[in-house]
Amino acid sequence: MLFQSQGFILLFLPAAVLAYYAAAANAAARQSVLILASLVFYGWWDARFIPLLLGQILATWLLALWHARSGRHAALVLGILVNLASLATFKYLDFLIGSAEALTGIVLPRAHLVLPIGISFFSFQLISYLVDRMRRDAPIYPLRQFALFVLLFPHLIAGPIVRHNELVPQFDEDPRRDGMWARISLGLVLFTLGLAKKVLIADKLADIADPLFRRAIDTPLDLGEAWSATLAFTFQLFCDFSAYTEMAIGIALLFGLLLPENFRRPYVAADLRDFWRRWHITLSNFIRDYLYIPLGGSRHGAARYVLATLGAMGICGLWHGAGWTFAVWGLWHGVGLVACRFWQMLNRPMPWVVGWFITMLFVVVGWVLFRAADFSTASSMIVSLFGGHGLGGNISNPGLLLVAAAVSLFLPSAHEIRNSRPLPWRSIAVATAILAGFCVLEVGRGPPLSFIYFQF
Amino acid sequence: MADAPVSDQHAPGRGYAPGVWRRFALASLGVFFIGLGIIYAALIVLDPYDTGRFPTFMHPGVTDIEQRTASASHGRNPAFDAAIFGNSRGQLLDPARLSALTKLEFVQLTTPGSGPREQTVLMQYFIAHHEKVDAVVLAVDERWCDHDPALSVRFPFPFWLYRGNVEYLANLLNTRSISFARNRIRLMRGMATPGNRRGYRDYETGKVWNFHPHDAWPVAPASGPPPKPNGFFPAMRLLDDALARLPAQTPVVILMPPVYRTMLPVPNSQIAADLPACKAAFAARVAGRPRSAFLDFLLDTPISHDPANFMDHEHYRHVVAQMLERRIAAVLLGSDEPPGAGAGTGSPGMR
Repeated sequence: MLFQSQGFILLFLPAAVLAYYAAAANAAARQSVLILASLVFYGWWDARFIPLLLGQILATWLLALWHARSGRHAALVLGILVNLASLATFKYLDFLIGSAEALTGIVLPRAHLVLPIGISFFSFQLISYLVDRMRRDAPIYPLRQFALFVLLFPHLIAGPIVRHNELVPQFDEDPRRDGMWARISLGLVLFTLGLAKKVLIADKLADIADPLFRRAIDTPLDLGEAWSATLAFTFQLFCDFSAYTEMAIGIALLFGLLLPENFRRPYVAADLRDFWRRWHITLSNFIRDYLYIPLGGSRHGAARYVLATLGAMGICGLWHGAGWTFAVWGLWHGVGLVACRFWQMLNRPMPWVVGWFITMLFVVVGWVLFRAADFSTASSMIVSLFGGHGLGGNISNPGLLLVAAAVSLFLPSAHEIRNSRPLPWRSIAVATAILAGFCVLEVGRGPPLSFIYFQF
Repeated sequence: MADAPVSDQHAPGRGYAPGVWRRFALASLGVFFIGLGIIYAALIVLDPYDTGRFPTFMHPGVTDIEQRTASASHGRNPAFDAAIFGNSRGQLLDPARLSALTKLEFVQLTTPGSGPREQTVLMQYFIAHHEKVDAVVLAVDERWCDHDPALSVRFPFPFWLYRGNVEYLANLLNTRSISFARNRIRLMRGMATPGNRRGYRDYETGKVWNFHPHDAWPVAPASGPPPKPNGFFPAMRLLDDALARLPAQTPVVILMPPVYRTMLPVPNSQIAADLPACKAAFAARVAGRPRSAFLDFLLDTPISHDPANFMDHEHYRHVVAQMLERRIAAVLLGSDEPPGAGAGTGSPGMR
């Protein structure tokens, strides 16, 4: 079930919210309602994977419990391995087989397993909990609360990646407490903003980017086409994923819960380190806390810093997709982050506009690697971007690209809106309702396109 | 502030009078649900696609010329007792000409780019909306001989428009329906012209013929050993289901229209190996029905060698369509000779 589908907006979400508030007086009952709703939500995609999801949750919880009672570190290591094995099997097995085949030249059979949706997100959340247990930074939660921490449907499929200590303590708070209507109002506004960004901008940008990236597989694009495709995808990815986050935060607020910030207008960043502090913030934090710092971070000399950055970003790339183009995209950003840090250590700041331009160019070229089907398509596109396949061509739908650019650069993020003392004007309430209604009608025209981040 | 729950830190709404946010939320939800409810109710009553499912004050007919949606109106029109189904390879068969030849009332329900699933759904829709069906013409192509049990749909098709009311209601609420409803109101008020009443969409008239295929088009036999024929045609099950809803006495003509020679199955290919059995399966479906036949023109004949017979590699012109119509009419009339034969309208390309 997609957040922007009519079934979700008109049936599932109202039913879940009403059931939740009907059970609000009893913590166990309302948590059970949310667990049930989340299982229905996940099962709508593919009910076959519910046992896998529940199995990983239960195994992680039992191993954490074993560790708490026995003090055996091995229990936590085993838990991490179980989650990694699940992720490796379903997401990376064919990638590893293909890589082995390419190296050895021996034809090997493929598993062709169906990728359980959201596996990267829920596996990472479970691993983060176990690592925090190792660091003595995570208690043993009751099973119902632990399960809800992972299953909560607003973040289950595509994040934000939530840490246990950010979410579990909220489950005991009565959603009817002081400020309920303000939270519900803000939730409605954020959900509508995300819905509009997804339906009216991101999906329209896909109509520019998708056919051009498809054509680039066998035909070099001219300059105009290459920039049309790349800019369209640049804004599509942001509008799509940040829209999902805003909808997720909005939905969670309807249940009286707050999810963490995930985007803070990343395309205004004037250096790459700032970009990663603004882009997919919960993943960046995860990579920093669970990969970069354990790999050495920046406190063990320059060489260790470079290795830690490249290693963390390479894995970050592979997390996004089982393909070498994703790994190289991650390394591309790793190299950029290292270069950025060394430049900053020279203490010679460049003008903001120059820094922004270099950062955006770097990010945009990176998105080509991220989006292209393979390296040959990516290299052809990059050559096209710099005029290597001719200087002709026009920018497709420049009006839409300008609107998308304005939204990406200037529209405040969900938490910026939340923290800015929004005005409870009835005109805003009516405008929100009309915008949401129009999006619902627009979505009804045909099968909605999936959110891009669902594949990760 | 430090004691505030996590979700309430920097919470919005502080400093406003009690009830302000409640009114905001209820106004937003009220406008949203009541507004959509009114639009939904209006769409049900206005019947944007003229499906006639629920009581309405609207006059029959649509302005729509897109076959995928317009067939919902044409396919239930009681003025017609016979219909043509298929994809663009059957599109140029003129229902008016065919009606004149057969004294039946034909409607065109072909859908460009469609396959067996879409075509049989339309057949079922037409049959369900007519107490008496006097003839069915189905123009088929090689997609009917596919072995994929999924019978994939290549282009989006609104199946919901032709199925049950629940599916219809679940898909009605959208901006396209609003636009169609507006067109129907304009039609009723005389501000718009209706689409062709027989659902006919002519792809030749008004176009400049410009088909000059180069001779280098390869039709070389596929290399390797001859493929083993595969007689598994899952689409036949759909056809059987649709035909089972017709009385045994209803004439059925299945037509495999001609294509330019470059589109004929490559010798030694899988489809070339499968086609005889597929054609036999079609012939078996009409055997036993009165004034019925399987008419096979997907052959290497003089018709398929003359570019003047085609608009492109796949789509024949009126001169061929008229010949096909006469052959169909001959079958439906139980005649050996096509009507009009000998009157200067012989088969084209056979010169």
